[in-house]
Amino acid sequence: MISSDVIRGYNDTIILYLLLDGPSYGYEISKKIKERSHEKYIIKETTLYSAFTRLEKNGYLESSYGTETNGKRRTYYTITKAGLEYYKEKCEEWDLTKNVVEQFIKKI
Amino acid sequence: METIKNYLETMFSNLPLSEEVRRAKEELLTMMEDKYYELKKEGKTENEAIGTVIREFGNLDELKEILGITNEFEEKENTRFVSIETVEEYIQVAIKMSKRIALGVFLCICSPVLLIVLGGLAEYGFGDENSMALGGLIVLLVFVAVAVVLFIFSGMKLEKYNYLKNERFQIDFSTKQYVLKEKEAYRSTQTLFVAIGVALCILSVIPILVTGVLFEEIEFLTVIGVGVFLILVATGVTLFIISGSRMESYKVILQEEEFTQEKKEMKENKLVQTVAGIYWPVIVCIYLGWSFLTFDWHITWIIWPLAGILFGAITVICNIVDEKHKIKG
Repeated sequence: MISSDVIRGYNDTIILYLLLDGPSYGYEISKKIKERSHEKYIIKETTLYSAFTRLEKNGYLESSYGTETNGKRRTYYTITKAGLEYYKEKCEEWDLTKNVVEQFIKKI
Repeated sequence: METIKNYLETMFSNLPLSEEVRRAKEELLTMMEDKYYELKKEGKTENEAIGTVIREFGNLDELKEILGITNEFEEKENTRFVSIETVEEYIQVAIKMSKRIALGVFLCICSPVLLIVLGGLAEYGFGDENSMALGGLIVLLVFVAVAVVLFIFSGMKLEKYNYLKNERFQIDFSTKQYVLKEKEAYRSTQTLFVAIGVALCILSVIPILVTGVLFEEIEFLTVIGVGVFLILVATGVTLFIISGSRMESYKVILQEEEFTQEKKEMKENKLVQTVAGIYWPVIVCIYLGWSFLTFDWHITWIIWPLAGILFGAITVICNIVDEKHKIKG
C-alpha cells in the first residue's frame, strides 16, 4: 500500500489519465485507481474531491451534472484542452523525476 | 447508510454554511454512498462496508485549504455552534412546554368560571351564598396556583435554551434544511389553529348576547353565558399559544424575524420586557384587590381582556421609544 504523502504530487496525473477516455464521476475514478494500482493505492474521498476542485479551478476540468440514475444526481468531470496540456507536462515531469530518482536507487 | 450520513454530518458540523461546503458535502456523500453499495454488492456485511467507507474517507483538513475556508472558519469560531441534536431537543421541549403554558393560561382564564356560575346560582336561590362563593373562590385559587406552577416549571425547563433567543449561534446546512422543512410542514396547521382561535374569540360573545337579550329576565342564564364566553376565549387563546410557540421555536433556530443575529445584538425589546415585568403583577393586584373588596367577581374578570388590549398598545409605545432611543444613541 502506497502512502498518500508519497503520491500526493501525482494525484492530478492519475485523475487526468482516467478522464482521457471520457467523462467520469467520483466513485468510478476512485474504483479505477484501486483496480489499476492492484489495490496498492486507494485514494481517500477527501483527497479526490479536493483534487477535483483544484483542477476545476485551474481550468483543467469541467464539471456537469449527469442524468439521474436511481434518484442520484452525479457530478461528471470532463478533461479540458488545458487539462490535456497539463497532463502532458506532468508526464514529462514524471519521466524526469523517475530518471533522477533512479540514479539514487540500488539494491543492497 | 445512516451511520455514514451521521459521520459526514459530524465531520462537517463545525464548518460554515457556504455553498462550497454544501457542495463538497454532497459530492463526498455521493462517493461514499456509491462505495458503500458496491461493497454491499460484493457481499460485505453492513459493518464491514461502513468500516471501509469511513476508513477510506480521509481528512477534512485537506478540504479546508481547497475551499478557502480556513480563515472564515477561525473568524466565526467565537460564535457558538448548535448541533442538530440540540436543535431537535430544543424544539421538542418548546412544543411540550408550550402545551403546559397554554394549559396554565387556559386555567387562569377559566378560573373565575365556577365562581361566577355558583354566584349566579346562589343569587337565583340555590344554596347558601357564602359557601357557594367560598367554593368558587377555592377553585379559582387552585386553578391559578396550578397555572403558576406550570408557568414556573416550563420557564425553568426552557431557561437553558435562552441563549438561542439572545445570543448569536450557527447551525450547519442540514440542520437548517431540517428545521425549514418542519416549519413549512407546520405552517398549514398553524394557520388552521389561528383561524379556529379567532373564530372562537369572535363567537365567544354569542352566548352573552343570546342569554342577555333573549333571556334577560333569567339572570342565571346570563351568568352561564359569561362562563361559556370565558371557556371559549380560553380555548381560542390556548390554540394561539400552542401554534404560536411552535412556530416561534422554528424561528428561533432559523434566526428569523425577531430573532435575527442583528436584532440580538441590539437587544431591542428591553423596554417592553421591563414594563411587562411591572405591568402584569400590578394587573393581578388590581384584579384581586377589586374582586375581594367588592366581591363583584362576575364583573371584575373584564380586567383581563382590557389589560390584554392595553398591553398591546403599551408594546407599540415601548417599541417606538426604543427606536427613538436607538437613533439618538
